[in-house]
Amino acid sequence: MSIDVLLHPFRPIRARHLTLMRQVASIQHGLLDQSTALGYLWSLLHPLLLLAVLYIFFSRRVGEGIEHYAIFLLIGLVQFTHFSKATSSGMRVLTRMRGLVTSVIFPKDVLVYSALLAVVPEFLISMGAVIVLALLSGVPPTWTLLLVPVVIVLQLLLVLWTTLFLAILYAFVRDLDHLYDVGMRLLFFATPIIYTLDFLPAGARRLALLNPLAHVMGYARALILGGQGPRGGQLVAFFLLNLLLCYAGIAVFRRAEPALVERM
Amino acid sequence: MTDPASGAVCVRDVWREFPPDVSRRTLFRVLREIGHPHARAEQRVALRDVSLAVARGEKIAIVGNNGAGKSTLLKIVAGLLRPTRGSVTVQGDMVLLTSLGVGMIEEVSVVENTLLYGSLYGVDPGRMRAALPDILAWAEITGHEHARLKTLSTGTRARLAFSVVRHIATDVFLIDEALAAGDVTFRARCRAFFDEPVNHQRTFLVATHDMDFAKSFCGKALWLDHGAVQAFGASATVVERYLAAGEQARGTAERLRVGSGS
Repeated sequence: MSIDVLLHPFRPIRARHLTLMRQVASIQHGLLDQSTALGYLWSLLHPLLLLAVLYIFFSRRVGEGIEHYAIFLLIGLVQFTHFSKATSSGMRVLTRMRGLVTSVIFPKDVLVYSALLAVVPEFLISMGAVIVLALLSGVPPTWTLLLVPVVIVLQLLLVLWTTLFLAILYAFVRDLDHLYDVGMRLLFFATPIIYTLDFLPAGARRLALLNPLAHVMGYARALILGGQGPRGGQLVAFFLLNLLLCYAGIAVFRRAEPALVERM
Repeated sequence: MTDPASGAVCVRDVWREFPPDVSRRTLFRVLREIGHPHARAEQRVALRDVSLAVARGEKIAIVGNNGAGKSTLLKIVAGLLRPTRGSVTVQGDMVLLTSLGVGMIEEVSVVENTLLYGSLYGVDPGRMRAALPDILAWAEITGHEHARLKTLSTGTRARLAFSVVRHIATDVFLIDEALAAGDVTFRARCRAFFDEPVNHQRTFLVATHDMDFAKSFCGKALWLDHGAVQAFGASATVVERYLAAGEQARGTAERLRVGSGS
């Protein structure tokens, strides 16, 4: 195999690289202190405490008229927390593991996948907890709950392509560090986490619909809390769009990889 | 491994230039460069028109002073740096070893690090698990497998890393000073690995300052000076010429010092 083939944007990931991915993911997961019982407890407590704070401030005005506002808020918080943790860790993983990146031969997107994989268990547990809390607090159980895994996959795809593009950008423009934090704060308020889309004026609503995270949140809430669910066709289209963007993300990353490695 | 061509390395007319520092890029600098292409600073030439053809199973020593371009050449062969001009082809799998233990993580256990290190260099996980007792025994850390890596001394870590290296199956080994660390006993034990029969069919490109190793293990040597090939041929001859040139340079420096003193 020549080096040109190795650097081809669509070369397949080899079995040995999948092993490496699992290994790095499990180590990173362990280092996050989530693998301990207390660690998992905190990954549940954190969104709950955040929920308590936001609930106190927003349940009266913003939350008025939203059924099961606490659960509504919690779904948004869990999804946003995962999105922000995963992108932040995945964007910086090449810099964090600079030694590996610059001196060991392997496809570097593997590190991005590992970083994302490392925060998946926490997300799954949180989503599970949300459903349990929803049922305990009197949300009527429906068959749509069975479709929640679809939304989870959607969110993971969304996180994957976003992170790949961020990781590329981060290698070239280091002050993305600061911009990212501000951007996340902006995203928190621009995404319907504490409010519903109806809360926004018509113009802003159209703008908010460009935010894919808003869609994923909308789907999750519709499936868990009932109400107007996404139409099947729309869901499929959104799914395909994200799949396409993941493909584009991987292709661009692999094209850019030699340049990324040199910039570390 | 059965393909007779696998293990061949070909470097054709490779040039490599470096901008002064690409790592410290800010948005401001990127924007300024877009506006003023001339703001880009002077390039430093690390390799000048280097060509090299290596057949499967050959052992090549790369010698030269610090900054001669040895590491750059190995990284270009490894695909971790791109040539500014020229091209590189490598047949088969390759592994680059820069320093022993790169990629190991301080906070996790010896076993986890061993498995991680193995998968970094493509050692099959099943084989890795089976070889674990041997790896720990060779590194002389049996019984400490659950200790965190940071409790191990630098020497022990290097031993652990090399112990894993013995299990790497690859066609081409690119080695950059990886064995400079360690005491005499350790180096002798590493040396024994190179002479193992399994390595006879493997290609080795070794950047080294150890001239005895260059002469005894490597059939050929490549001498780089300021990025250009000074000589390529039988290792004994090339090493003698390289050492003689160093001798001469030191003599000149000595004469200059004496001259300026009088």
